[in-house]
Amino acid sequence: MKKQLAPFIWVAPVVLVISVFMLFPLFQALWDSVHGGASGGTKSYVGLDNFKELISSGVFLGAVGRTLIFTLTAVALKLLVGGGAALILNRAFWGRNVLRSWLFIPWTIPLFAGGILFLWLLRMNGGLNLMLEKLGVYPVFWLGPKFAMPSIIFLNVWKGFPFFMITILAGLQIIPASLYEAAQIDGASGVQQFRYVTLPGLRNVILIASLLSTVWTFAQFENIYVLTRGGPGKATETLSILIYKLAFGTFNLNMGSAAAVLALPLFLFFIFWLVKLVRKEAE
Amino acid sequence: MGVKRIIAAMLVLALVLVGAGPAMAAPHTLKVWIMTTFADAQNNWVRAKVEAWAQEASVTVDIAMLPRTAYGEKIFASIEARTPPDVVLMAEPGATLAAELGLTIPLDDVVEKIGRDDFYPRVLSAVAAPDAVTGAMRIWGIPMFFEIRPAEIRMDLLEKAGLTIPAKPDYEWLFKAARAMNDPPKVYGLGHVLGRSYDAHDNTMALIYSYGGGLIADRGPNGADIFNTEPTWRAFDDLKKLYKEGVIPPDAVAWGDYDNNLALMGGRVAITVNGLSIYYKMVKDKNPLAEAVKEVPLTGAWIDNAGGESNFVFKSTPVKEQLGKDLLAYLMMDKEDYRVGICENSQLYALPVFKSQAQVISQQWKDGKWPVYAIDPTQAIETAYNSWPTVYPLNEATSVVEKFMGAYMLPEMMTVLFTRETDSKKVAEDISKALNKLLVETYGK
Repeated sequence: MKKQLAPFIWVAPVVLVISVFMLFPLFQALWDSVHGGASGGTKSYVGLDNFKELISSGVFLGAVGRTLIFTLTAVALKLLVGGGAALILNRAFWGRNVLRSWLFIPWTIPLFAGGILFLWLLRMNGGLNLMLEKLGVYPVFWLGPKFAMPSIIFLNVWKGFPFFMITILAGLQIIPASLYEAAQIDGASGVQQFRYVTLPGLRNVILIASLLSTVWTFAQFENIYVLTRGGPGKATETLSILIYKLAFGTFNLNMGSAAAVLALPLFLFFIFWLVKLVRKEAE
Repeated sequence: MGVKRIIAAMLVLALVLVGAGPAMAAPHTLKVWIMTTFADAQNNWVRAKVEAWAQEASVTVDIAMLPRTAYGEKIFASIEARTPPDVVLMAEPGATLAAELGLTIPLDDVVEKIGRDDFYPRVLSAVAAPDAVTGAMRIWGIPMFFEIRPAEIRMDLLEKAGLTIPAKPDYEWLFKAARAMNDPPKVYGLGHVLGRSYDAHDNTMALIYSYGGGLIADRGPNGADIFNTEPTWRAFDDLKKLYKEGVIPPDAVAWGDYDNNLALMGGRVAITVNGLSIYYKMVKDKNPLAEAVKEVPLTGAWIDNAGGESNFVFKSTPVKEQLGKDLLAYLMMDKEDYRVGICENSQLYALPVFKSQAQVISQQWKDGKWPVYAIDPTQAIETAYNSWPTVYPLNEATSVVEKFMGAYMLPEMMTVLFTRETDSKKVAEDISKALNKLLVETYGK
């Protein structure tokens, strides 16, 4: 009996913490999503009304669309920039370690600070427009309806590419040199070596890094909020911004919870693939 | 270690934690939230007063200084979760919502203690609402100050454009002056905030009111139909035109409350409409443009926050409630100190809620102490509209406008006028419908 009980007691604190900080809010959000009423007032059961309103108004689907554009573009660019940087840093050259540290700096800067930095750079009378002005170019509204989405993607890529760089660099360094030697003996060109040796060797590293980054980017909030607050209008209103605005911007916790519950399957989809990949890699 | 011992140890730990919680808290700890204004001197004065009172009354105070951007979200979240502080100072919004939900205590006795007759009656009516239980009109907040919103005009640029301030400047004249002073991208004519901010709400509503429009006429399900009328359409059309012409800076759609201040202080705009916090900051920073700026109240469009920035006490224990009321009285009992700390320290960004102190300010202005004001600032108190939580033409405080403004619904919903050139009537209709929905949610059908 004692032996049967002991494992449960040892894991009890963890289960308790997870229950309090994860399961309880999750069930609370589910409860909130099917209730409605004035802010601060009595709540009543409304069934699926909140979900119907979110979908029929187009607010939710619009945010999903913007989130997908933001996530897919940002992750693809981070992969390209990070991968490119990793390939360069994988070669031996003078000052490589200094460059590696220097390129890693954006990853270490807190999200909020990064957002403020870009805000001062990209605002109408910010650093970038001041430079353009010196060149005689008319100021550009970088955070306006046309360029707000590219601007938040740019910030996300700047902040996130070092993760890909370091991960891919680590992956590159475990590909045996003998494979490249064999390919060279067979007369493979540089491009062929990359295509048939490097890429297959990095396949799982790239997949896992991409999926992790996709989950993080999909849920990105701080950078977007600091830089554009989801605006102007709805130009950069991604899912996380929408959920926040509904819950704390319009003080409608029920609608915010409904949006969060609707977004849950999308997150679960990415997490499912991530877990599956990691498990496959472990096997 | 045996299983029984582990269970016993955990039980003891749990009991200790449960028992120690209340024991560790001081007997009288008041949780005080102070919403900070743009004038540091005011914030410092309020904090110092709270601390001095706490020392005199032997009370522990847990003070949180909250910037206005964070305050709105925190107060609504705390009301929703029923975890509010004990006392809230200098707050906008929340007083009316909390009162309508029966979460705060009436403060009529505090008003009596401070001196009801000395308060401007309109400032008290702005925070009066029916008691949730008895239905009697009670006072739920002690307003801290009037904030008038004149136009800040660069006189050097106005002169350069060959214009002078007329006897009764209105929005029509202001737009004409803005166009004449417009020289983009160096200087834009009018810094009208259009992004997610209180300023966008206040200034746009000021324009709509000055055109004869309104926001809410009654508490019924169609009470906000008045918003979807000609004055609103005209105001939206005018703003759209000014934006399209490049008189309003293109980035104004992304501006927050502080951006028009920065634009005027940096010389990017010739005119903006704001509280005198801008002037306070310019004087404090020794900004050379301060001398060129004149505060010009616009005819029929003055907006102040009578009752907006107010102090209120949440229901808790009788002892804490009484302590909260004592604190509120202490803050304003010494009216001379109040005038200097809240009004003069802020370069008259805040005007007094007491008639006696307004007379002092008026005399000071006549003696030439406040040359930045184009007119006697206390005249504005007599003629200005109450901003929120009072709403026109209802002319009563309502939590609907607190929610509407606190959620930045007006700027949020009107951005499409500028980013997608949406029809003004369509936008007015959508906003009116959203307000009607809030009315139904709050007051029923």
